[in-house]
Amino acid sequence: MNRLEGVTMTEPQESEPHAGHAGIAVKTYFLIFGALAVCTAISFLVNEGERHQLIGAYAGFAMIFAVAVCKAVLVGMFFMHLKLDWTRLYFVIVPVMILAVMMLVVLLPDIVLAWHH
Amino acid sequence: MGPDLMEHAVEEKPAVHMGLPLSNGKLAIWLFLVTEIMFFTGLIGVYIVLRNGTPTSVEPWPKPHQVHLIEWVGALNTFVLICSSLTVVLAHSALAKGNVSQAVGFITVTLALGTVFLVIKAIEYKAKFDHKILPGLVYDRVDGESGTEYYKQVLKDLEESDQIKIMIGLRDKFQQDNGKMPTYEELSELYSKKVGIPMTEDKEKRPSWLWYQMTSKGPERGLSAEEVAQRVEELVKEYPQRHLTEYVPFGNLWASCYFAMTGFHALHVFGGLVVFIIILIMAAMGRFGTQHESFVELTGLYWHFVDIVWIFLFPLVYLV
Repeated sequence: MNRLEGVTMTEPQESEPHAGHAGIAVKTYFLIFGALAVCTAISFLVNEGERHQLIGAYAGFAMIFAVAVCKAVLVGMFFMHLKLDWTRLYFVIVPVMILAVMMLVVLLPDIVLAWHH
Repeated sequence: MGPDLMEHAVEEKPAVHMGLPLSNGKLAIWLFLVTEIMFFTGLIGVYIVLRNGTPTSVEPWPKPHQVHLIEWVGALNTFVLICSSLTVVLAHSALAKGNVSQAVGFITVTLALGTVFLVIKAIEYKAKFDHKILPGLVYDRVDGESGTEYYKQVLKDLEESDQIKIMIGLRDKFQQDNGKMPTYEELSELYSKKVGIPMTEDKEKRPSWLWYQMTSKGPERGLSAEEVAQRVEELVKEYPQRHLTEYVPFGNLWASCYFAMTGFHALHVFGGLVVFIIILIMAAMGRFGTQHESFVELTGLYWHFVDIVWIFLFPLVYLV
């Protein structure tokens, strides 16, 4: 028996990548846009608070960075459709995220920690 | 007939698809985007490392006003890019529903917003060029030869003002008539008489007093470069129109990082705009349709990535 019987050698379901995208409604896009605009305003206001010494420097930095990460996740999940495609793409994205963090960690001892010590 | 049908039903196997459950285009764009993630991690990561590696307890990292950065302009640019991300995803959504003209409209708006971003960036860059906040041109040291160069630059800035030019003329005339240099008080009085406006502000807060001290060889001694830098920092707040060159510790390092990060980001934005222009040309030629849904989606993925990079660049450069 031919082992390739029943095997389809065409482009993996042209409709499949798009079938799930019908799940993200236009209304959701607008909601995410609103959330992103609010997050941008929050970062700006936290910075103003830091400038007028209403918020500490480290607390301000943590808040601003957390907001940036939230915004990136929202854009990635909804605008880039990762909410639907994550299981198909994580193998490409996760290693890069690890490598990106590793690059910073690898440089820290020689440039940052050596000076401070 | 019946047994044949049954036999056929038993032999039927479910279809197996070779390769990933992902279109080639989508896989390719994501592979490209992860290389871009590493590219920008290199730039942004080095900025973070360099900034944390500098001894900023004594001489802090440049503040936004020292390098002519305006936070609300950066926030505006962020908002513009977020809007453009929305419009590109709406374009894809419209195309998926078969509404080609609406998709073309959204692509046009995305192109316009991207152009607005680049125009605002160009205006910001012009401010840097005008104030010579460029790598290698910032006065970030006041010791040794750098200090001497900084001293000369501030003197040049001061002597460009009309007030100091008049004072120079009055000083030279006084010296010619009296054989000696005037005191600052004498010079101020002569100036007030000439222009008909008394000098009322505190002497220490006047640019003309700084100039006098820098050029005086009399009882009031000349100043060191460090003292000049301190005085300029105070005067810049009161007299921004004098365009006095500031001493900006780590200014050259800041400028290098700023132009590397935002410059490459702007190039990426420009690349995205080129693709949008191609789409619009195709639409104008009647060659754009629902069959290009994947093309628009993949272009959108690139555009969202550019947006994400700016989401991190904005706080790192403008805010913290």
